[in-house]
Amino acid sequence: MIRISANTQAALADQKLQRNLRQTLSKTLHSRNEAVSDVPNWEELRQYARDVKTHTLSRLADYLLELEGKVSEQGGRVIWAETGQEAVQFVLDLAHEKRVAKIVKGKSMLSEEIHLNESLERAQIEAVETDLGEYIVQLATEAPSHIIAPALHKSRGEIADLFVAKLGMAPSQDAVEITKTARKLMREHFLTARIGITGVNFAVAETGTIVIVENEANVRLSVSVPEIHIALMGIEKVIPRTSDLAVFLKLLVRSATGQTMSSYVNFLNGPRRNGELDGPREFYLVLLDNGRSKILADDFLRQTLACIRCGACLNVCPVYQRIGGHAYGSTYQGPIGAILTPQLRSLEEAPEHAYASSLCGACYEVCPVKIEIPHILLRLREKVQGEKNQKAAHLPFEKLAMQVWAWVMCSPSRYARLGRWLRILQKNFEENGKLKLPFPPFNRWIKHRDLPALPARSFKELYSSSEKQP
Amino acid sequence: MSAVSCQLSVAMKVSLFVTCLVDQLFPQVGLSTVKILKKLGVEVEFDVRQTCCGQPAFNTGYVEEAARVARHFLEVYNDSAQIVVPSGSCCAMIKVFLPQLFPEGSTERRRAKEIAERTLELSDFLISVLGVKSTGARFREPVTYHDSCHLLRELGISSQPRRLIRAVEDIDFREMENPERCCGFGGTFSVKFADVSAAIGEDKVQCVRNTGARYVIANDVSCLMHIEGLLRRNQVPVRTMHLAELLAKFDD
Amino acid sequence: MLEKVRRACDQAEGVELPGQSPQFPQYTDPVAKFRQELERTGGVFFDARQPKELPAVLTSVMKQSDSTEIYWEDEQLFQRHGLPFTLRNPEAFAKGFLVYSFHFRQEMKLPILLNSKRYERSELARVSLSASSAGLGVAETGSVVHEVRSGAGRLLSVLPPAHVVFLSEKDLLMNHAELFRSLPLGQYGSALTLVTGPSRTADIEKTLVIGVHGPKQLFVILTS
Repeated sequence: MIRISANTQAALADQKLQRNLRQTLSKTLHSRNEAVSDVPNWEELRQYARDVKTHTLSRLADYLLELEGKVSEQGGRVIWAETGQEAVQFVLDLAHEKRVAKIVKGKSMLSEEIHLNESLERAQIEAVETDLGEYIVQLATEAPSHIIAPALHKSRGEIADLFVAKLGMAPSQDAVEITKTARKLMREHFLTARIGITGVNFAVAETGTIVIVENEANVRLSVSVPEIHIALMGIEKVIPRTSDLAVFLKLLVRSATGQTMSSYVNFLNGPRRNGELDGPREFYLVLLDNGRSKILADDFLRQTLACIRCGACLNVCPVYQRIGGHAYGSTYQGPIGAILTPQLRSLEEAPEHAYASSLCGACYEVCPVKIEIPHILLRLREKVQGEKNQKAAHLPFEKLAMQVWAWVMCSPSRYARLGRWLRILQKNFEENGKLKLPFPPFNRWIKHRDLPALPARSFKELYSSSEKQP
Repeated sequence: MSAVSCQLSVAMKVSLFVTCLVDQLFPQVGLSTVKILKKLGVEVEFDVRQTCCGQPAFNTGYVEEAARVARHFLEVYNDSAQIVVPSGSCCAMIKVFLPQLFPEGSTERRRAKEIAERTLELSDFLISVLGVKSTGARFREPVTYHDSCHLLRELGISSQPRRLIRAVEDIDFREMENPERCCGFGGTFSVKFADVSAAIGEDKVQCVRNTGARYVIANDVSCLMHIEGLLRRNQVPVRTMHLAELLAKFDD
Repeated sequence: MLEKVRRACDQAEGVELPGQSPQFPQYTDPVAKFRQELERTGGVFFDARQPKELPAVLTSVMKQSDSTEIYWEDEQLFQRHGLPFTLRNPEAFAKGFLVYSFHFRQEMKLPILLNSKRYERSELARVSLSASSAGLGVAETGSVVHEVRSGAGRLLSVLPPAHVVFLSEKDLLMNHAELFRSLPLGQYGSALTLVTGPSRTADIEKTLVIGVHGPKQLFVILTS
């Protein structure tokens, strides 16, 4: 079971983390806001993209079949993986069959979701993350803390120290030097790896095209040098038409990094063709379900799958801004992680995710595909309580408290009586107009902030006495 | 005292829903609301049977309990033509979520929807229905305004409170940095993730302090209770004030 | 698995696929917009719509990238973009060569002389400047489309530290709506890349660093 509440204190106390989060997120948010304000019909684009996604998800099976047909026509092979384990097994089997010792990887959250690197390591296959941010967290044996910027939690100094310690880089705090070191080292890997593994941002059904967005060119190299390219995609990434890419790319790039366009958008149609001088000889597209069809089956929650993984909701989230990604304890963090994790895995495994939000709604405001994250959180909370109540042997305390509360609130007289009782009882805990209640949930409130005592008379009392005056 | 720039041509009657938190903890907000409405010539009806809208249970995932309380709410307000609420989140609960508590096609859902349509948040009511330019309030202090999340994002209300604040005589209104950023309260979030809630609140307090304002105004006593709790705990010489309290700063 | 997916969305109420694409911006001077956007990303723009400008432009590209040779894969590259040149060693252009190199001496008078050498792909890592022709360009974002076709590959435009792209003015589109209406995905080759500026990263404290795994310098030469 993932307990976010057990991780927050450490995250909040980590001064370095707090500084890194503050600095980088404000920069990202600023660029995102600039890039969005530059587009007069942003709202129209959002709605368009959402409509395309809603349509596609309602006919997902058809579009996946169309995609498979087109990919096969072009000489690629599609692998249907129902679970993460199946996807991992496919990669392992292929690597063994081809006697591959080294794999270069482009940034893929799906690969994180199925813990591919751990499995490859156990099988003694070297997997090298080639995206700089992803490489940094791999070197540090950590997980990405942000779906777009994996090493966002690390400062330049920390990264430099890591490079000095692990790679023997000459001491330097310069981002350019660090990048140079990575470039030099990674060249070797690109030229010697025999499999390239990447994620997928979009897959166009009508043409069988895999679209991968990046800035560094590590994906370009990963899909150019090795003799085999494996693309991993969640089944929700398919879109019907090429023409829709104009809207999706505009939304994705501006939301994610605040650029007007990423340096490279790769459009890949199967393995290399006759006469082409390079490119992979074999192309595999892994279509992963891993819990997605379960989400698809719910009319309201289905919109979770519209996500294009831009990370804007993380950047704008007051909770993420304070605790960072690792505290979520899951592959996907922030608001999208909060709704995705309990659905992909289970509410039992991730019972706190839906609660790790103040429901402020900033995530929905920035979401380029208008996913109603706050409302989904509410729905998930309802489901968490439903399950908990069903499975519990005794009535859980919170449920009992809520029942009593509802019982009181349904009756004006009980409500008034409770108010009076509380005014009497609080005298034992009052000090200068503040309450010192040493039991939950009040003690948790009081640990951080003052709690006002109830005033002598309620509004109802004051109002009725004032009305009686002439 | 400055003249009220709104005169009602027709008699207007509203039902006030003060919310449970105002009733029990912040009665002066309710009294201020009544004072403003009366001054503007609005007849105020207050049903003493009112309790809560069900929000605390709903936001925590206890839909059954929320629905039970909501039913009581619907009963109390069934015949009200215009309901006014001095709270963003409670108003959002009524307008956005209450109907969802009942099954599609049910009488209760239909009733909840009708009541939702007849419900308005105070500042919105003052501006959109009454066309108020100024309540005639006067306050000679630097103030800043915090956008409560539900008010801003579920109800889309941000200009109304600001217009009313700016119209207060002698006011020194100072926008803070990121006024739309959450204060961290979040209902039961404030105790389930109390440390994170307080940390977010401290960022808000910092933004408030940077303005040099003596008062932070908002439209939701729950946010204000959280912010005030932090201000007091950290001995910051700034106080919170509900919008209604500010707008009622005129002589009777 | 497909059945599971089908069952899951069986009852789903979908919306129609939207027909009308939202408006994308139009520009009165698309070349100026292209240039502005390209330069914003750190790319370098050259206007060589007057063919006589080309030699000087190439000289500048080579100087800026500190190169004495340009490598390219497409035989017609220079002819197509109107660069007058003479082959010093025509038979070397025979089939089977992977990469051609262009030896450029600044002191030479026009016409420019080309040497061709045989290069193996394994030697690509040492190339300092490569050239290619863009299939399309987009003013909205200052982007160019790199197409992989028969006789060409994916690597030459990405491995070297500097890359120069020739873009014909007639191939410059206004915006991305136009681009994705006419992008020939999968029609001529297995890969297409929309290139916008040099390779870059902001993975370290959101600090922009130009030149990670791909070219550090991107030049675009507009021809007519």
